Amino acid sequence: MNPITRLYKILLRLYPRDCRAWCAREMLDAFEKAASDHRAQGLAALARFGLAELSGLLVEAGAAWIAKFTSSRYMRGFWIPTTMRRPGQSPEDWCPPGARVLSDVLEAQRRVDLNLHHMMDAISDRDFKRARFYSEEDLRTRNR
Amino acid sequence: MRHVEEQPESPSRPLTEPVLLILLSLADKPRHGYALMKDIETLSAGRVRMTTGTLYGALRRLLEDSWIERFDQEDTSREKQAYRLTSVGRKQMATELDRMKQLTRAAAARLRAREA
Repeated sequence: MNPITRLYKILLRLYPRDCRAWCAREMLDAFEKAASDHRAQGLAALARFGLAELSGLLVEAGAAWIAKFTSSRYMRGFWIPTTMRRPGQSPEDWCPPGARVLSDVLEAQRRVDLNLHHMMDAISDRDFKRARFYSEEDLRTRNR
Repeated sequence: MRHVEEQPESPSRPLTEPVLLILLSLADKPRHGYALMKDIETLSAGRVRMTTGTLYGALRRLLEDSWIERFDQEDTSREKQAYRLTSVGRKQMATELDRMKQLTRAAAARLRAREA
């Protein structure tokens, strides 16, 4: 691993742990490929790329922390376990104790809840067209 | 009481450019992170170069809204986790494109009226 990638890997620790669990490896992969592209274009291009990546990472890490403290724990709890497991990784490695449930069931439940939330929101706004749309979306999700 | 009439599936506000570009990039086929970055650069004719931080921040929000989903790609490439549009995401994108078309038509009509 070259120094710039190593530095990026260290800076990824600025993200909240739950966020890092699902995206850090993918981000590092994407960064490595993009860095090798820019390295071929010269040192100036690599430096510009490095600065842009650093600022992007700092801003998004801040946004991730804000989202962590302002978004619903309930919502986060549903998408994180379904998205963070890597191919070939056993459920024991990624799933926290007590949360070992089928990811498909979690995903379906999350969608049903989201549709219901949107539907209730639309009804409270007396927007029945939108409510009907989410009701149909809910039916489709349940049938799937 | 709300006075603005909304379409059933319309987003509450216009999509940001990175979000729209991600949705457009995923419209034809699923892609993984780096492929998305490259395709977005191509789509925007080199104008938009998304950093990995921006990309994954937007992906996280789209996953939360169920506009996209992650799945295991069945190929031998290193990055096996890819993203694809959900039906909700596709509808949101279509609605946004309709909104943009309408705006473009209105702008073109205004310009023609001024030239005439």
